Amino acid sequence: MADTLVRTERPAASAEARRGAVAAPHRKGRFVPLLYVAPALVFYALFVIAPWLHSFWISFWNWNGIGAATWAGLSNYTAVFEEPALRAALTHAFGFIVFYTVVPVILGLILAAVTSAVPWRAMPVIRTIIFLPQILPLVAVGVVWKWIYGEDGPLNQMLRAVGLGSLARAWLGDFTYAFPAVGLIGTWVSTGLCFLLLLAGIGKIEPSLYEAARLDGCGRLREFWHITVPGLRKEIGVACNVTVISALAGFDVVYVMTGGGPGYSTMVPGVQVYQLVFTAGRVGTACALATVLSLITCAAMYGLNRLSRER
Amino acid sequence: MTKQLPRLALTVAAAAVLFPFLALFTAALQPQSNLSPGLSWPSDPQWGNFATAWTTAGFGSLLKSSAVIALGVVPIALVLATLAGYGLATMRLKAKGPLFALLMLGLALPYEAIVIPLYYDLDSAGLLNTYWAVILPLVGLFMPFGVFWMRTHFESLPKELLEAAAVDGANSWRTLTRVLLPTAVPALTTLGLLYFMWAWNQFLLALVLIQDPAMRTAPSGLGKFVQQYGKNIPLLSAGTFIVIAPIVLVYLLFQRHFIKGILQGAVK
Amino acid sequence: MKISRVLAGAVLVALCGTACAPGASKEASGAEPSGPVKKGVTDEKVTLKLVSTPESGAAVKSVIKAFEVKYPQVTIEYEDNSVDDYNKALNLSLASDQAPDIALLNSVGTTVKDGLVLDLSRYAKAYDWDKTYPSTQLNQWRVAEDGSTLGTGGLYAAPAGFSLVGVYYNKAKAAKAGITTPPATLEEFEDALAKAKKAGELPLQLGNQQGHASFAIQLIGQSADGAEKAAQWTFGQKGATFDTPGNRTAADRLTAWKKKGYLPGSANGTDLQTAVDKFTKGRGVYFVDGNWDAEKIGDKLGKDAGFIAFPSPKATAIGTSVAYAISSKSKNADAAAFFLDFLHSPEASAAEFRAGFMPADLTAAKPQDGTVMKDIVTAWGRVNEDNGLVGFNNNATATMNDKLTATTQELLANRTDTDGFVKAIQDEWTKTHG
Repeated sequence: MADTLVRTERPAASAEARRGAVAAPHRKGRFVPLLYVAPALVFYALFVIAPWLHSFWISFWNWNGIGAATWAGLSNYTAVFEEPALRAALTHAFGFIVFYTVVPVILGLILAAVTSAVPWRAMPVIRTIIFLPQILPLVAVGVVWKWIYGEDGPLNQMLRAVGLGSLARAWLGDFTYAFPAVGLIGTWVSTGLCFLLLLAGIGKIEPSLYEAARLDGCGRLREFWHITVPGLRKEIGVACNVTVISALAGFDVVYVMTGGGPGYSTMVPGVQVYQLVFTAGRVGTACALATVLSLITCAAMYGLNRLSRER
Repeated sequence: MTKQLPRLALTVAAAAVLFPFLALFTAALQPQSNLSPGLSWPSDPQWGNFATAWTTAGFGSLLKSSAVIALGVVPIALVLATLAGYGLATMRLKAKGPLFALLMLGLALPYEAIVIPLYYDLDSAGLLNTYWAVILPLVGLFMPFGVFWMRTHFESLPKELLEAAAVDGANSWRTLTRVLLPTAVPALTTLGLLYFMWAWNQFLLALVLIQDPAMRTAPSGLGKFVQQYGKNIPLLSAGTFIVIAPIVLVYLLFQRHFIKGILQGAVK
Repeated sequence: MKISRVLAGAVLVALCGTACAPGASKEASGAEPSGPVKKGVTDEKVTLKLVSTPESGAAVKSVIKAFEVKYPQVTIEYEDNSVDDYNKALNLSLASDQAPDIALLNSVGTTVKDGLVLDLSRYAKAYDWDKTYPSTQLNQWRVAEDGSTLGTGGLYAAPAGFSLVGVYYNKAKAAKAGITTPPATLEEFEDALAKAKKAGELPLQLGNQQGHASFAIQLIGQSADGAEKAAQWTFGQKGATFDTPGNRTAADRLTAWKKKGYLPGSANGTDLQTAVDKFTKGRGVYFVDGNWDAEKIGDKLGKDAGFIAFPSPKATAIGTSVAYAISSKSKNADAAAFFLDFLHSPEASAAEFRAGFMPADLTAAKPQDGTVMKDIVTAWGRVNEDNGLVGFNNNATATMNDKLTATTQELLANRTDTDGFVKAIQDEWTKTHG
């Protein structure tokens, strides 16, 4: 059947065909590419777009997931913003951006700037190790850190060993420290990625820029601010993009480590959605929260794209 | 000095990544009577903990499920992404813009946003509690990344390649299979490995869409293991290693692909 | 342009597919069957699927074996999942096409309201369950027409062994601290805690990561307010309130104990099993927990392990049954009910007792003297004599367990006070029962 597809002729001399390498099809074949895209699109529409619309639809109903539903209007949305536990989940998602994005990007930037000029034979090994958190299942990461933060875990053990035993505590059970403790795992996961992204970006900056700066007598710090950071605008944008999404959409780590506790101090939207559906039987509210969350992530991504592409 | 400081920084960063797992490894070898061991090399390493964890949690069937799901997702997703990437690269339609935006949306959409309706939709389709319940949605969710990835690859090819094919009178299908695919092997390998990892590691979808714990992915099995044996740290640590070992192994074998894939995939 | 039209079409299709109220097609499965029930099983081959949790399922697994030996034509497939996962998935799996026939019911939640399990009243009558089990124990599984008020109405689960929550203590540590007789009132209990503290021991072990401080609160509350009044609240009966002198005292006491250092500082970060582990290692003179941990505590502490009903002139305890319900979708409800009836047989009772649960047939409970199981059987007897068994506050509504977990954690961390705690709990209750 595929062989009956319309033949491609010589590439048209349009700007578009020049830019891309692939031949533009003849007029009659205009819709051929569509046939190629269609299967992927069907899967995508069926298993991503349709469920999302379905979720949006459910968010206007009071539904426990089993019985009949009653129309809820916007009440599920008001609940998302008014119920303390639900609002806390959204606030925490934003709070995690500090740990997943801000700190790793800053650390990665510094690390990349400091190390880019120093070639080292051990670099491939270092790269392999530093990248490791990207490929590990987050559940396993959560298990490891839960143990480390445990009352008799290595962290407290080390504190006691250096005479800081009074600081030792069950970190994940402490209202003050549970949130940053969970957040730091995001930092642990994201920093390597940010570092490698930015390191690759530095390699693309024109060396002549640095030479010129040096001729002008620029210090290392000014060089960093005036050449490295602006030159990495795109890469920083990408790093922010990827990590912000993982901050907002986190589920695995919190689910395994605290389930949102103590109180609601580490509750995130993902876990809240799960609990709303499976414990509280408030599927409508869960879908409203999920909708709000996906709008926020899309908006964040759009905003970051705009920011990093300007100028 | 100027050389030592950066190297020290890198070493510290690498150590920070490795430390938790080295610590966990010592914990996995502690005798099980020591329920919450701290940090110390066990005087009598209990390698048997791995065997115990393997049998008590049924990791055999969990690893198999992870493999079934991952190996089900990868070929379907690769074929669809290749076709669509090629289609997009050759496309000159006005619809390209909206199509792009629609796919971009998928990159930002959190899985939580669709997993609930998926549960009910798959239930009415009779697919719940089968491997398909995770495989099909994952293929859908993997499309945006894969389509952009393959499109970038096809657009990066020298146009002489295409012109030559066109001169030979090859139609679009022949162009794709005979001319373009051979050039795409590295790109496809990278994409396939990333798909494999993401599917293998999938937690939320497996947790919600498959009720039978034995059919879930290894990470979800670990999630259940935590609830049951959460306080038996040696056993839990051993279980964690069993779950991460396969993916770490694949990573070490193909690390260039993984690193390149994630870095370039992110930049697009 | 064409794409956008196609997309618009897809959107429409998606919306049409869902354009009815969600779940309307899944309306509860028709009228409950009525008429006489078939007792026993025929010779026909029947396969039943039973789902449970590992903790509760330990006993039922051996009950199944005994049952299958006696009635080889019946095969019972057993499947379990950890408690959290189980509770979360139960309603959905009961509603799905692969619903199990028999399911452990940890709480009534919304399961009955959604019509997912059968009203067993007909079977209860046929098999005389009213005579087998004390009414206080069956009442926990009776649900009124509204689907949320408990204690009266149809029976939705049959018990297979009972749990009770009381106070474990470490006899050696108590003796060392100079506590010679087990406390019999709250005041005496506080004195004992003070003595333990003075002796340099941790007075009361507690793990509150999953909210188990609610056990102590409920026990203090119901022993002051009386079991009957407390039960009205857990049953969700009209006009009941959590704002009682007993519950207020309980919240006050708990915060006071925390301040005085009677409770471990890390309670909020410790789960129940870790707390059990610590208690068996000698951390803690007293420990409020259920009989499900009796085997573990007895094994580790040996003759030092003791158990009393919560100190109160009238003995009360938190307790419920490990109870099994029959799915509304079961095609073999009669055979399933016959299995439920088997749960109080001597074989089943012995298996349940071995797993640490109080059996329906108490003659099967033959603990050795001087063991913690002996203490538990004694306490169980006292509680039943005083009719003091009350269901878990945590089961008062579907979300009460989460709420109690969060608010007791706040209470221990000084993030809320007695007023705030009592109000939060009552507000949560009102959402369902108001």
